[in-house]
Amino acid sequence: MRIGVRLDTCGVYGALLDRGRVLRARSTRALGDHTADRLPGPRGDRDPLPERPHPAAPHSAPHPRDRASPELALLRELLTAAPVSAHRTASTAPAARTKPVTSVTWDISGILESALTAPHGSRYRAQRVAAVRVLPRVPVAPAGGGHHAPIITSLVSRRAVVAGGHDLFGTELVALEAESVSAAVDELLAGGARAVAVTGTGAAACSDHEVAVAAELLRRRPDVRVCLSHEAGGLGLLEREAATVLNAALLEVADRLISQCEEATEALAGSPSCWFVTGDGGRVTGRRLRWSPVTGLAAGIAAALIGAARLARVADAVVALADDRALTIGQVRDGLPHIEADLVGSNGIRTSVPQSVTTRIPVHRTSAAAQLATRSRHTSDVVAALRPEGAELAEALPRHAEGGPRQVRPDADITAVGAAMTEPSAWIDLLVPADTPEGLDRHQAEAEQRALGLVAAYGAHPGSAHLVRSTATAVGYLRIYRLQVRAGSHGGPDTGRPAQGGAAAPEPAAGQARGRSTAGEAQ
Amino acid sequence: MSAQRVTGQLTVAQLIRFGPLGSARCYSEAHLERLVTGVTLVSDLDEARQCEPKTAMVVHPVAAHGVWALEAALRCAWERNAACVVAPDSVMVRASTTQLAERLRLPLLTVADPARIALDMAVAIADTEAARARLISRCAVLFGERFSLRGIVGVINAEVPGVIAALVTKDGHLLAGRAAADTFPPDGPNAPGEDAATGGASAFAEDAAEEHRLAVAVPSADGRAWATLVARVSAPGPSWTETVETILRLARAPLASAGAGSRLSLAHQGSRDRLLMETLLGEGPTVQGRRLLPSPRAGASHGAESAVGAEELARDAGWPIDGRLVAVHLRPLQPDRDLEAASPAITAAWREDLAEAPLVPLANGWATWYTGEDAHPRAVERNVRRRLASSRIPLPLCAGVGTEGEGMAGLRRSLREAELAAGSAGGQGDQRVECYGELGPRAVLAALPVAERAVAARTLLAALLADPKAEVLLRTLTALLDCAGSTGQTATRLGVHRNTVLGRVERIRAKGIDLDSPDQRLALHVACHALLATGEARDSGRPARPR
Amino acid sequence: MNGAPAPSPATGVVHRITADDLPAVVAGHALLSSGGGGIDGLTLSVAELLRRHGPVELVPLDALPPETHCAAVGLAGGFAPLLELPPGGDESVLAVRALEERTGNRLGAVVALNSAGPNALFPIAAAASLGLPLVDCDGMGRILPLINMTTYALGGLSATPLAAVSQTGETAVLDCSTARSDRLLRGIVEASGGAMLCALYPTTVGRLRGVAIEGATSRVMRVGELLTGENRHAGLLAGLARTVGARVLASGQVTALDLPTPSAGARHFPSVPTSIVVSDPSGDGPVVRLEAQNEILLALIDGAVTAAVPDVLCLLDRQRLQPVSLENVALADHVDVLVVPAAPMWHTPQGLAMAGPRAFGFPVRHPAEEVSR
Repeated sequence: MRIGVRLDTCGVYGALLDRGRVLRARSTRALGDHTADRLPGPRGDRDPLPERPHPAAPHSAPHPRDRASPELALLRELLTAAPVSAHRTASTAPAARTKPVTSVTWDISGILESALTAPHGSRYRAQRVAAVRVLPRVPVAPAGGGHHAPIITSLVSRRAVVAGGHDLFGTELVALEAESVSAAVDELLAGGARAVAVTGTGAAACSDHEVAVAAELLRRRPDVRVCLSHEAGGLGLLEREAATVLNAALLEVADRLISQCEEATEALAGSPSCWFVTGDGGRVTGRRLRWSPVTGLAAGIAAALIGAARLARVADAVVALADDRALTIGQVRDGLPHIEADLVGSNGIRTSVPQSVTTRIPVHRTSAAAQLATRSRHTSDVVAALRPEGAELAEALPRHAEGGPRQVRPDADITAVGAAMTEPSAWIDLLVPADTPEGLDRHQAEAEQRALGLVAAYGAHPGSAHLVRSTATAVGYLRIYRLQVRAGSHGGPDTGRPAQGGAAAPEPAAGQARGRSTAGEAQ
Repeated sequence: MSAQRVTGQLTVAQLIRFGPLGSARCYSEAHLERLVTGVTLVSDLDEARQCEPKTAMVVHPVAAHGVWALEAALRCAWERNAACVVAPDSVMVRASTTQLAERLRLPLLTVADPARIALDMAVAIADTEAARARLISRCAVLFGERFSLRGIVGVINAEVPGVIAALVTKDGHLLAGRAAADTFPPDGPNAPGEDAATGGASAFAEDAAEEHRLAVAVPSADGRAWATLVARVSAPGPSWTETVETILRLARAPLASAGAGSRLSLAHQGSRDRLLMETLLGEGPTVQGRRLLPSPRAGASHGAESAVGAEELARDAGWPIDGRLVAVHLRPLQPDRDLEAASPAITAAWREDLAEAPLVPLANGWATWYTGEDAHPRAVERNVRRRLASSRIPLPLCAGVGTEGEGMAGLRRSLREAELAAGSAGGQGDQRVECYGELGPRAVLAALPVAERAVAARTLLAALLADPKAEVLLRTLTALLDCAGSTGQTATRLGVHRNTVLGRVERIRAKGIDLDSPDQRLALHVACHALLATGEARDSGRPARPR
Repeated sequence: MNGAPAPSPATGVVHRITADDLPAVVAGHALLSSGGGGIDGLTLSVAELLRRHGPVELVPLDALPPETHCAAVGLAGGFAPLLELPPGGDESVLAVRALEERTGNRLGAVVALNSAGPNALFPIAAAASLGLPLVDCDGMGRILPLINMTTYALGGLSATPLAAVSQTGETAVLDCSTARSDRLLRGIVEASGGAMLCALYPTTVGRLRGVAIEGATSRVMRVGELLTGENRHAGLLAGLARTVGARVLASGQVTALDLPTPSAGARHFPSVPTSIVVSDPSGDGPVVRLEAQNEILLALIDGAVTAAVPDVLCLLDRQRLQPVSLENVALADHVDVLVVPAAPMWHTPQGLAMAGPRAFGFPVRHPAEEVSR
């Protein structure tokens, strides 16, 4: 069994899954506010989730010793609450009770995202960052550089430009000046910088200058936190800088959050493993996310897409996620969200970190169907409520039987459900010069091996790592290719991933499906 | 390949199942029942637009710029109602192209060598019963309209797809047609042929395995075996082989009558000529106990009487042995070559005009002579040089030219001189021609038996031979000695600048060779000739060419 | 230097371009350039220049005295170098000043080399920094790979003298034939990081008449307004048909992306061809194959050439209603294939010889030639 938890500024939402089916869900409306606990309605209840406190709420009463940790309280509840007998067959229930929880996967993207814009004094607020650019020349307009994304501008407390940089082939354009580095470091440290984002021109092809700047920073102040743009990878100075600044700004917040989640997970019986969803729809260990919190952004949507498609038993679908005002439409391909790098995220920032490709369209109930229809891929459309408030909008769409989308209504938070279903993944994005197809093949094979190695290193089951996508895209004008490799992994036996062709054989009808205890889905 | 006799028109499926498309990879399996009435080989998209209906469109690799071009060809094939599209397998056919082929209801196949498959398909399509009858009768009509050997064999090569035919003598001399018809190596037709159009080794093996040789004996007018009509069939099938054989048989009578006009086979003539020549020269002198020319065969008649008889025989044979003449001796560069085997080819290649003197095979080469008022050694030398350069000469030769003579006696002398001059030329490389008149005393040197002297010379000139440019230096030294030490003449003779000669002389001197000592000069001269004659100084395996 | 003719008074000004117009230009550029990556750094820089120097007057060609000296401004190079080396802001001034020094003529107006892709923005930046009007015309109406593939060159204007400035501030002035200009420049561009801002085709407004594609910049802005303002699929397609004559060639899903071996004729283009197949994955509909080298050059539907360069071919994501760049096109994307007809000058025999499919190594005829045969 697996647990998925969505951690948000306004609550904790958990789901307990067994073989891809939702057994139980709990939520705490706000962190530290235990009075808002509630249980979802019985499985057979077609009413939407929200605003219906469950009458039988004995388990929601927190244990006194858990006051400090609502997350742990929620996890305990998930494990101990008596399953509602009407929703399982006699044969599966005992098994479910006795099976151990193998993993807890957290989505902390909600808090990370709000931390970026949180006002002074907030509990979770991203720290201000000093940004260093390694450029061949000091820019004139805007003077000294700048960034188009307001959030990045607000997060960067101080900027410095150091002469240096490489071209896309990794050839040095301007030598790094030791004095200019030293002066920039002096100024930044004098300004009290505790986290520094270093972005070098051409760092994706040659990271020497970034590393040299970092070395100087650390030599002067070993406790300063330095993030380098080539670690995020990708093409584009501003895109990499955005990723690096976000990363540096979130280090502290992420560290605290991750620690809380890890403590809560450790306190569970059976010591399940602890994971965190990433923006590409994969999951990583806390250790990894502490180092690269920017990859935790946009994880919620990715998890929700996975959850909705998986509960609909399709591997390939256009998924519409409804909240009270809008539909967020994304695609799931072979069970994973369709992702791209260099997208503008919901926070208005274009980064080189991959995230799911989504469109958010504000809709009224009446036009929802038309909006979805124009975006349909004619394969399989799935609709789920992203938040309880979105249930009404989702309901407004025509039924599956009437030619409308397949509706997924788990009595659980769709993001938490999806989080539990994620698997370790890795993403590599780099530029390689290639004069011959053979040379390109070699580079691509190397990148693929590296990605597979990373997935294994991030904790995939041995032998389960596989390539999801491996593209070599010609970069215009130059004989350079951009290699993007995405690797994923197949889960253990408790994941309940649909087999190949699962999309072609969906569960026939809602009533039957529930009767057979394929819990969590409803149409 | 199946022995099934296809009577009507072929379908794509039949070409795949029984025919040349058996090795093709098939991408779009529907609509294989389409009839194929011919083949269109397209090497660009404009040709594809002109594709004949109901033919198999074969896309040549030069037209396959990529998948898009293949798809464009498919489109043209569809528009022109082609039967199927055959593409080179160098184009990666993916799902979308297959999808297109299926949409257009066109079978799409890929093969390693489309040009060859096009030929094989043309054969297979021509091999239906109706087509066979048409082809045979057409050939028969054309045979009747041709009166030369070449014309008759040419009909086969032009009309019968996938067949290369030639008329050869018993001993392999090509009388008409294309030599490729009979170039199977000795171990049979299954080894790789010269058809190098195909790519990899495996393709070779496959191709070769499918080749087949047909041979039909062609009698001379008097009914004796005279020549063989051979054909290389590149896409054999039992019924097709039968068709080709029928056509070859049809060609026999026209060939025999066309051949009767021309004389006896060259080989036959060659041995007759040799006997006659040996008889003519029978009482020739000897040099140093060795006959310069082979002695006549034992049992041949001796004495002046027989010589007179021989002279009459020669006149009867049409040999021009009266008046002014200049003899020529041809000699292979490598003395160990099998001259008997090479003779017919050399004879055929040499002859330009039937009216001139025959090229008579001898034990160590070939002899002939030029007659008429313009039979002058200089003119003869030029003519011989031109003929030796002809690509038809199958092995490297050198030649000697004698001085002018009159009548039979003059011919004998001139022939001896030519042989001596040829000996001298032999040391100097391919296509070398020497005139006895200009050779002077060097002819004596050239006539010396060289084998034993070469051993001694190797020792004498060891230092020179060790030089990386030994051959050049040796040639220069020889020329210098021939020219009595004149560097100017040497330069002219070698066709290089005098300074080059001077440089080489310095190099030769540096090898410890004293060019000024009169008592060493003769020994040196002999040694040089010996070495050149035996080819000692040459680089291993590479025949020397002057300059 | 000759005295520069005073820019004509603001009569006939089409538009005053301010920083507020940039989103539309940015959105519009992508459609006319087979898509294209984010150019946030460039946009940021141009916006700053417009704020600093005030709006740029966009004027039609006949609003300026014919003797006014002008030159084209545009970037030569790739998208990727532009992303990695965003402009510092002063490149266009450096390039124009270097050109003026070489020709001895001070410019009175700026024109666009090609008002598509990032080159829709650079002339605005140049006009802003130099305080000159921007003439509403260009020489390509799209992106073409060589700087001498322009209607300017077609009309006999010389591309040189040419001044090029890299983001590192290095400047090169080329004096050579128009035919050789791209080849020579390319070597310098590659060595200097992959992209250089050029001031080229020095000429006069009078000589531009008849050889420039007029209305090019305002066209990009109109397309951009549609792409940013219209959120209905049908409405967007209708709007594009109205403003630029775009028509939907086909719709479907991206079912294959190939990296084929380059065709022999394409060697001198420094790009690597990519082949895209758009079809119905169920296998019923037509197979649309798009052949690309940086830009989509050829569209074959069921093997028949239905559209070709110099007409603009681009992909529109049906879900996001945005152009899809070749760098970002992915399998299973649901797209419309749009074709935007090129200016009539490009459809002449000379125009097609210069920028038609055969100029890119495709031995096929442009559909326009097919019709006239």
